[in-house]
Amino acid sequence: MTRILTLVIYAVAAALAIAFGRRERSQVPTVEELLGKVMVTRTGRACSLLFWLWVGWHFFAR
Amino acid sequence: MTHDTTRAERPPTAVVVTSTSTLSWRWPLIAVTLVYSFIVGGLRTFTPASNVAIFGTGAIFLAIALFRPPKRVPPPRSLERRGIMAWTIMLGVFSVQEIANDLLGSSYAHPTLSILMTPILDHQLFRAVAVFVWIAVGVELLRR
Repeated sequence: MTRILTLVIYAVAAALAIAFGRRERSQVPTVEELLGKVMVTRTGRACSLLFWLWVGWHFFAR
Repeated sequence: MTHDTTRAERPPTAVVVTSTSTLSWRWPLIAVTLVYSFIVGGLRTFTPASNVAIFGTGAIFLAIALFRPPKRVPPPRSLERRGIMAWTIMLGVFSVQEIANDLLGSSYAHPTLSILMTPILDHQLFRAVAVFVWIAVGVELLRR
């Protein structure tokens, strides 16, 4: 039961991440817009790139 | 006077050359990335080779970000508070679920994303696709 709940939560999160902001006049930003905002500051850029590197290491090297 | 006329008559070659140059590099780069992804996708985890491949890629991207960043896509002017709230809630629920499952042992009953991805990433082809997507996300991050 907890496994199914987990799968549902992950599936919904993935679907929302793709769907957010795609509707016309949506108040919710798309993932690209959100990233664009995060990447404005040097700290945001550094954290995003380091997180990206960690994801690669976690899934492909570790 | 003559100098001004020459400048006025000069066609905007720089813009055209930049655009053509970008396009001419795009497909060879994609092809090289596909081959590289397939090679990295074939490396076994927990090996020096896979670590070198991932950290090497990361080092190249960090160097580009620091010393030769590409032309960036302009950021959005402002984001709606409700929109940010929607993302915060979604990412919050996802993170809580991930942390809770990790604390509960990351098992079949309480799987983290890593556990769910392991059987998929065991296949070289899927793994290569995932590496390619990872690199593509990195490129997109550099442009933001």
